[in-house]
Amino acid sequence: MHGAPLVEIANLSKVYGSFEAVKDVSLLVSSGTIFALLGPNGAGKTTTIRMLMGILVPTSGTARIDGLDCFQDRVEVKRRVGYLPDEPVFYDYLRGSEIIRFSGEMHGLSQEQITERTVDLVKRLELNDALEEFAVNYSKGMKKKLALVCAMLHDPALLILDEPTNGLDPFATRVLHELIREKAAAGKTVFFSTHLLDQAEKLCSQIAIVAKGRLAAHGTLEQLRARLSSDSTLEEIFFSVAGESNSGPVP
Amino acid sequence: MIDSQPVSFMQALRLMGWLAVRRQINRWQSVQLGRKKSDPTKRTGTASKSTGRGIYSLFLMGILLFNGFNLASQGLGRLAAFANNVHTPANKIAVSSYTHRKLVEAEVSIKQVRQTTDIDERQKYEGLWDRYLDQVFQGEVSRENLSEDEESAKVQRMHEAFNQRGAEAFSVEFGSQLYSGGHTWPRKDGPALTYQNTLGLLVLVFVPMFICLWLGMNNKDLGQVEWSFEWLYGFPISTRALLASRLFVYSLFNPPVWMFIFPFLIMVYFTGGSGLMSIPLGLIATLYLSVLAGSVTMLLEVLLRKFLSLSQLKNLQALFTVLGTIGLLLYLASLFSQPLEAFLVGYAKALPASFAWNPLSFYLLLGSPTGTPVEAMSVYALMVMIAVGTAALALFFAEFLIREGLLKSSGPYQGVRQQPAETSSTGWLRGIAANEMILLRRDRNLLVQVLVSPLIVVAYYFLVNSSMVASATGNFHHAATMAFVIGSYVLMSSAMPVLSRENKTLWQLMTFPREISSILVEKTQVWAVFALFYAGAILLILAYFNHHLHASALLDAFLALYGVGLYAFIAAGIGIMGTNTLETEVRARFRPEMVYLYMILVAMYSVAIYTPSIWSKFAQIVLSTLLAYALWQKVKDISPYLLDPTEKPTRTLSLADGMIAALAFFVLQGLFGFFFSESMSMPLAMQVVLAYVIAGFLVFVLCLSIFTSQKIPHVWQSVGLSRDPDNAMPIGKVIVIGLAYGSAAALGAIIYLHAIDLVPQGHIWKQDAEMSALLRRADNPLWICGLAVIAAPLFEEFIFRGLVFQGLRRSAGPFWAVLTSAALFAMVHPPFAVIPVFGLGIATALSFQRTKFLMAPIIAHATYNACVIFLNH
Repeated sequence: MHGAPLVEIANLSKVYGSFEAVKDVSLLVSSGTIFALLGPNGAGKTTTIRMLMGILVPTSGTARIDGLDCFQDRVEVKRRVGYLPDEPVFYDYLRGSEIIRFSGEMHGLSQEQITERTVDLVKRLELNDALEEFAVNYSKGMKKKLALVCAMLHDPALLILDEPTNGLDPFATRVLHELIREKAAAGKTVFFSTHLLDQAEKLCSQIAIVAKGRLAAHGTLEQLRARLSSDSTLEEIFFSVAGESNSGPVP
Repeated sequence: MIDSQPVSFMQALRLMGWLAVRRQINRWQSVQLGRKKSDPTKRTGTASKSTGRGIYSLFLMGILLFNGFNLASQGLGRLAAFANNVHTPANKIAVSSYTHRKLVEAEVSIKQVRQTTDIDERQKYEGLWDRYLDQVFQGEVSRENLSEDEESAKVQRMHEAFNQRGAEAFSVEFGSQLYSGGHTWPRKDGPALTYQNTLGLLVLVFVPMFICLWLGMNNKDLGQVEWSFEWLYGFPISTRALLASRLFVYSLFNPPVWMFIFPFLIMVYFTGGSGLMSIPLGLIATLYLSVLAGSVTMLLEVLLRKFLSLSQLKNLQALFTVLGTIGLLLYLASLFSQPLEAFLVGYAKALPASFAWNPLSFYLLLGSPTGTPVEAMSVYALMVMIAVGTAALALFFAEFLIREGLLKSSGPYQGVRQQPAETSSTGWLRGIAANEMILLRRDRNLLVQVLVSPLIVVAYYFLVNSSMVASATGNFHHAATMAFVIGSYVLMSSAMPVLSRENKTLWQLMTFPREISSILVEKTQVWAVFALFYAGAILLILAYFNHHLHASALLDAFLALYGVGLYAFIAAGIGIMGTNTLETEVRARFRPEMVYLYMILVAMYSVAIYTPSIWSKFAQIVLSTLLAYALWQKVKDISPYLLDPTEKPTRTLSLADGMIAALAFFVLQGLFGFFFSESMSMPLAMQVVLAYVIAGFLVFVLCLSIFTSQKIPHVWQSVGLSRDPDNAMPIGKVIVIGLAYGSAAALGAIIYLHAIDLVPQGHIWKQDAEMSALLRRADNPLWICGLAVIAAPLFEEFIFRGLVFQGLRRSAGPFWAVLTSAALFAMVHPPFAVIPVFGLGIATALSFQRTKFLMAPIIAHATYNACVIFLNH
C-alpha cells in the first residue's frame, strides 16, 4: 500500500567548510515502498542516512520522518526507525545474544517479546551457532546479520539500511531480499543505500541517484527510463546520470 | 620480474623509526583542547592539526617535569640526610615550616600584649591569641595520622611547651625544607657508600616497572585480534629488522616513563656535583635503562603472543599493570615517605660495596663525587656492552621463536571455537545496568582497574605508613576520608571513561529511543552505586575496629558517602567533556589532564571532611553539587552533537559561566590585594576597595567580551543588562520593586541580629567576626561604606544574578535557581552573615525574576547594605 510520505527530505545540505558532502537534496518516500539510494563512493549516501538518524546535524534544510524532525525530535523518530550501519561495531565482551537482548530492552521490549521475535529471524539468517560467541570474534558478514536482527527487533515502520548486503554471502543476501519484500508487503517502508545496481533493480519501487552530494535523478524505474527515453538497464541509466558529474576515462 | 629493491637492515630501521615518530607526532597533534570542533575543511571526523592548543599540553608536561624535579630534590635531600645520620633534636617538637613561622610571629605579638597595662584589654587579647594558637596547633596535628585522643593530648603538650619556652620549643620539621644542592651527595666514605647503595636499591625497580607498564593495559596493541606487528610482518623486510625496530620504538617512544625517571636521574647526578653535566648524564642513564627494558619487552611480546591465547594475554596484561603500578608507587613513595626512606637507608647500610656495581644500578656511579676517571670509563664501557649485549640476545631469541611462524593460531576464533563457560544471566538487572555489569565481569582489564587497583593503593599506604592503621581506626575523620578517596579512585577508572569506553559502539546507543545524555546519566548511576558499596564497606569495616566513635562520625560518614555519589557524576562529567568521540586512536581519545583536574577536586572535597568548621563542610557540599550540575548542563547541551564533526550546540549562558566568573572574581581580588599590600603603601581599606573594584570590573569586561565573541544570542539581555524591547517594564516600577525587596531583606537581617543575641552561640560568632576584623586591622569606615553601597551590589549582582541565576534557570527552573544562587551567594560571605545574606540572595533573585533587569537586584542589594551599615553605627 503506497500511502502518505513517511520520509520527507527537503533541501537537505551538509557542508564541512568548503566541502559539500550533501547539497540540496530533496526526496519523498511514501510508506510501503522499497526505496534505493544509489551512488558511487563518496556521493553522500551515508551522510544522508546519518542525518536521517539524527547522528549528524544538517547544515541547512530539513529531514522529517513521519512528520517529526530527525534531529529535534530524534527520540520519537527512533521509535519508528530501525538502523543498519555500513560497518557495525559491537562491544568487545558481549555475546550476540546479549547484544540482541540489550537492544530489545533499550527499545522497551520485554524478555518474552525479544525471544519471540528473534527466534525465527535468527534461524533464517543462520546465526544460531554464533549467538553465544563474543561479537568481537564475528566475521564481517555475521556482524551485519546481528545488526540486522537488532534493527528489526522492535518492528519499526521504517528500516534504514546502509549498504545492507556488503559482506553477506549469497545465502544471506537472498534471505535479506526476502525479508525486505516481506516488510514492504506488510506495509513497512525500507530505505537502503547501495552501489549494487542489479540488486536495486530487482527490489525497489523507487530509486534516487546521488553523485558528489547532489541528487542526479529520482523516481521509479519507469520514470527514469522515460527520462532517458530508452529501454535501458539501471546500469546504463546510472552511468549516464551519475557519469555526468564524474569525470575520468570510461573503462 | 621483480622491480623493487630489497630493503637493507639499516633502511628498514630508519623507515620504522620514521613511522613511529610520525605516529607519535600525529597523536600529539590530534589531542585537542576542549570540544572545539576541528576546522571543517576535512570531510570526515579526522582531527585536524591543532594550532596553539599544543601549548596547553606542553604546559602540563612542564608541570609534570617540575614536579618530578621537586619530588626528586626533596627525596634525595632526605636520603642524604638519613645517610649522614641527621636527626631532629630530642627536646623540641617538630612542626612544619609554615607553623613555625606563625609561632614566631605569634610569640612577638603576645610579648607586646603582655606589656599592656590595662587588665581587661590584656585578658581579651590573650584569650584571642590563645584561640588562634589553638587553631594553629590543631591544623598541625591533623596533618599527622593520630587518633583523636592522641591529637588532643599533643595539642595540650604544644600549648604547655609554648607557654614555657615560646617558639624556641619548636623546630622546623626534618625534611620539610630540605632541598638538594650540588653537595648533597655525602663526601665521607661511610655515608657516601650508604647513599650510593640506597639509590642503587631504589633504582632496581625501574627496569621491571618499565617492562610491566609497557606490556600492561596501555599496550592496546597486544591483546587485539589484529596485531599491528602482523601487518608489518607482511612486508619484505627481514625479521631481524622488524624486531630491532620494535625494540627501538619501545625504548625511545614512551614519554610517561621519561617524565618520571629522567628528572630523578638528573637530580641524582646533580647532587653529586655534576652541575650541567647532569643532563647528558641523566640522558645516557635513561637511555641505557630504556634499551634494557625495551629489549626484554620486545622479547616478551613475541613470546607471549606466540604461546598464549587472547584471553590469557588479557589476564596477564592486567597482572602486568598491577605490578607496574605497584612499582611506580613504591618509587614515588620512597621519595616522600620517611619511614620507607629510613628502611631503605637501614637496609643499604648492610650491603657491601660491590652491590653498587650491579647492572641495574651501576650507572649511578657516574655521579659519585669520589669516583675516579678509571671508574667512570669502566662504567661507560660496561653500559655500552650490557646494552648492546641485551639487545642482541633479545633479538636472537625473538628470531628463534618466530622461525616457525609468528603465531600459534590465527583468525578471530584463534583456531578453536570456545565453549562458553558461563551462562549470560544478569539476574534482575536490565538494560544499561546489566550491560555495564556484564562488561565489568568480562573485561579483565576494567575489573582490575576498578576493583583491584584501589585496594593496592590502600595496602600500599598501610605498608608504607604503619601508623595509618592506628589513625584510620582511631580517628573517624581519617576513616571517612579514606573511604571517600578510595571510592573516588574506583570512580576514576569506572565513571570517568563512561563515554570514552563507548569507542565505536556509540552508534548503537544513538539508535535507541532515548536521549544520549539520559543513557550516560544511567551509566553513571550504575557506577555511583557500585562505588558507594565499596566506600560503604570500607566505612563499616573501619567503624567496626574503631573504639572511640563520636556522634560526629555519622556526619563524616554522610559526607564521605554523599561525596562518593556526587563525584561519580563529577568524574563522568569531566570525562565526557574531555572525550573526543570522533578520535579513533584510543590513546588520544581521552585527555589525561582531566585526571589531574579530578584528583584536585577530590583533594578539595577531602578537606571538607577534615575541617572542623560545619560551615566549610556545607560550603564544600554546595560547591561540589553545583559543579556537578554545571558539568552535566554542558553534557546535555553537547550530547546530541557527539558524532557530528562540525556542528556544535548554540552557545547559551550556563551555570559553568557563572561559577567561573565567581571564581575569577575572588581569585583576582586576592591577587590584586596581595599585589597592593606588597608593593604600595596605602591604607588597608583603600587596598581592599581598589582590589575589589578592579577585580569586579575586569570580570565584567572579560565575561561580556568572551560571551560576545562566542556569539551568545542576545548577550546583554540574557545577563539582564538590557531589557527585552517588547516586554520592558517601566524603570519606575523596577526601582520600586528593587527597593521593596531590598527592604524586606534588610528587615530579615534586623530580626536575625536581634535573634542571634538570644542564642548562646551567638556571642562567640560575633567575637569571631570581630577577631577576624581585628587581625586584618581594618580602619577608615568611609571607604568601606562606599564599597558596600556602590561597588559590591554592582559586581556581585552581575555575577550571582546575571550569570549564576540565569545559567541555572534554563535547566533547573526558577525555584531551584533562586535557592541555589542564593546559597552560593551566601557562602562567599563570612559565616556570621550567612543567614541574612541568604535571605538577601533570595530577595534579589526574586526581584530579578520579576523585572528581568539587573537594576532591581542592584538597588535591592544597595538598600540592604545601607540599612545594615546604618544599624551597625
